Amino acid sequence: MRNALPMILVGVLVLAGLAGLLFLGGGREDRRLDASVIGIDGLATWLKAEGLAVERSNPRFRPAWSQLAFRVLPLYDTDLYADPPEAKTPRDAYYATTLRNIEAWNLQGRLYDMPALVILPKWVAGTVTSAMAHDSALIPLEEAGRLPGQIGNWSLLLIRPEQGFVTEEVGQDRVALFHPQLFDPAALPGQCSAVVGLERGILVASCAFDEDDRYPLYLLSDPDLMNNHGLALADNAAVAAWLFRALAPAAATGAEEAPRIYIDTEAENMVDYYNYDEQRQDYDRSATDFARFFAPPLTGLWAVLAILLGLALWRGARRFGPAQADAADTPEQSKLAAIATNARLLRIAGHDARMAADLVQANLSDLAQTTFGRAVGAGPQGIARLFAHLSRRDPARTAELQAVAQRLTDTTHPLSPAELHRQLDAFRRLLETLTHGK
Amino acid sequence: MRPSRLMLAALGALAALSVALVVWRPEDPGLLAWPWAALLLAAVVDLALTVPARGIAPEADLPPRGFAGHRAMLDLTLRGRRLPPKLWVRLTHDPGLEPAETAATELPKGATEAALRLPLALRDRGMQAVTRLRLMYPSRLGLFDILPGWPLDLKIQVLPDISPVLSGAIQAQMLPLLEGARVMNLKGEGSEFHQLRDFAPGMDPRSIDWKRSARVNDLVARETRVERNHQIILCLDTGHLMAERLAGLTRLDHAIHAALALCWASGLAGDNVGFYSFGARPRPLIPPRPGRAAFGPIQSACAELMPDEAETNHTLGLSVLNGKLKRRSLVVVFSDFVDSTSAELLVENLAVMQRQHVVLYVALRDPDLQGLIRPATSGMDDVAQAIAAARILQERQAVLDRLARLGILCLDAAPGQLTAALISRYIEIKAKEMI
Repeated sequence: MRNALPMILVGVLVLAGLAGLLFLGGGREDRRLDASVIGIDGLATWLKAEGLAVERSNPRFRPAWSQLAFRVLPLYDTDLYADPPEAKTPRDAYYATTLRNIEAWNLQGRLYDMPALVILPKWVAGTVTSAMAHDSALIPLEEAGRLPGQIGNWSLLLIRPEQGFVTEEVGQDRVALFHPQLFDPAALPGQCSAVVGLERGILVASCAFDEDDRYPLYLLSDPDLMNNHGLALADNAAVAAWLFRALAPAAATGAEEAPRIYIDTEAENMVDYYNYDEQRQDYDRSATDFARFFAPPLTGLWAVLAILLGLALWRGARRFGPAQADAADTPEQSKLAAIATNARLLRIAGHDARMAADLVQANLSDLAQTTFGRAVGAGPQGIARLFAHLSRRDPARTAELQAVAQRLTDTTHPLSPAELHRQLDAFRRLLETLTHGK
Repeated sequence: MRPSRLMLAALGALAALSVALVVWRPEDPGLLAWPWAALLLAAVVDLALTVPARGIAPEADLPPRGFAGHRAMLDLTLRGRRLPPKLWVRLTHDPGLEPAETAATELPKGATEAALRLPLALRDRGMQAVTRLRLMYPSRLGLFDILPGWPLDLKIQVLPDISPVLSGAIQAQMLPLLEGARVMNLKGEGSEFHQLRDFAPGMDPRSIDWKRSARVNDLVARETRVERNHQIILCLDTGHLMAERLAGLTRLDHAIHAALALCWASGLAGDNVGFYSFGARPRPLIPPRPGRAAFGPIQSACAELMPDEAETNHTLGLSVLNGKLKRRSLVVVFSDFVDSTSAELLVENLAVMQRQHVVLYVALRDPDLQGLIRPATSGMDDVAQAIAAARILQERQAVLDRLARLGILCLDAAPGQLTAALISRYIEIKAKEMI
């Protein structure tokens, strides 16, 4: 069993490692989404290439709030107040509109700390696996359209003015969108204003919250401007870069320590609002610090310790008389060891009742041979003669002894360990009484 | 000298007090020094009041000779201007000596001389030495243990035990045989003519020598005695099994003591005694001589015998002896075995020897094993141990039974009873005229 212990430890460690991997690798589905045609993995790479300071969210890393300038938050949920219904059929799973569930409080928490761009959803879940953009894979407008109202109580109206590819000029660049999803400029509420407008509608709107002290929120109506497949179309990438330069100028300075654009695809807000670095104090660990251990009043304690140790060592160093010899490997030791080993093997065999029977037989036979001599006292006749001899002295106790011996030697009905112990005690007591008196 | 337990306890208490003072009164480090100064003062006063070790002069004396298995008394006299009221004594000695555990010795107050007797058990034969004496006594206040030591050069020669011979115990045991009382009571009587004596009523009429009665005209009876001038060979196994200690002495020592007693008894009975020993290799045979003349050489041979490290070669040892014996003899073999398998060769060779000689096999019973087969508790571990011990004893008994069936005489005795039992068996063999 002792040898198995390291293996058990290794097994536990391996299991713990696997559990850790399972636990930390829980976002595999999320990562697949981010790498899909409707994910925004490519945006960070592109913006970095354009010289903007960008940081992708990571479940194992908590960026400091002071180092972030702007948050990009793609939504893959169409109802912030309800959990998505469970998909019962593959068709339901294909047309699911929630790919990453997010609660309203969770989203609001992320919008308080810095200016943010929320990217509204457009494509159903099946797009991730099929990688096909078809009008049947569009999220119904009434579902995607409820999001501005849930985020900021804004009555922005989503429209899809045209089918198929639409290309429009934005400044020097051309924006290409498939089945464009835009805000209706006619229904623009007072809190909102257009940031990027197209001929058919508004692509990016800026909206203010009712509270005055909050950062403005930018809403991108069509994710195809920035997602993985959309970035490659026309000059969408250039427009995206231009947009971020405009919205987060601090990140576009090119400086090494510039605050970063935070592309947040995590289920939780990972931003760390407490700056530990400011709290950290550096100590100068010099020899003077070490010397404080030996300054009063600690000097006294060291002295006490030294005296105590010195006297203990003094006492230990002086022995009274010669060193005691170790128990040598004498033949009598080996004989006792052999008996102990044999006894251990008998115990391991697990035939306690059989052993007790042997002991009873041996003791009775020994007593019979001591009483009557080796020849006459040998065998069952000797034991019977012993009982006859004892019963003449004390019939009651002899009958009792005979009954106990019979019970102990009857191996067909094994006794329980407790009963065995009790009977053996009774046997020893009766034998002692009968041979040596009370 | 070393600090006593009391001193260490006081130090521990002071250390705890010091920590408490540092914690509660850190602004006053001088406070810490007071209790320590008090302890230092107590230690100095204690040492000043204590009996100095250099003022004690010990004298030790040990008898020059002793018998193995007995005790020798070491006489120790301590002299000084004053002696401590309580002291312990320990000796540095050879492993063949074992001092008895002695408690502290109390001395009267103001004593200037004290005589102590320290018993030393003599475990091994040969020259044994006591090389150092150490005393321990507490200082006046008990803060120190004073440990003075003096070198000693005391030697004792430990000899095989012949105290039964010297005390006359053997002679007393042999009296029935020597005076014929035992023989007269036995059927068959002695076969050797001793003397004629007047017939008295009560004597066996068959003992009347009719021819001589007619010649002297009075009833004369023949008095016979047991045969004399028999040859007795004492044969000792010195293999590694004989190194096992029983009751403080090795099996070999017990065997030597019994053999020497038998040698003396045989001398008294008028027999010739020879001596032979074998371990892995046989040793030279001391040829049979009249018992008393043989005792000296046999005693010196025994003094040099030590148990071998190697296994006994029974075949070689016993066949060499068998080849050297020309006359029917009583061969007394002192040997031992572990189990029936290892005893096979012993049994075979004894059986061969038994064809020409009377063989008496002497084994020693282990009292510890006898104690094991009656466990003190009913715990199953003790029961298992009892079974294991009982099996060893059964196997041993089976070998002895087998020897007995082959006509070999066996003697299985406890260490303390071996000599008496052997002499008794010898008398019995003589009386039955088995040789």
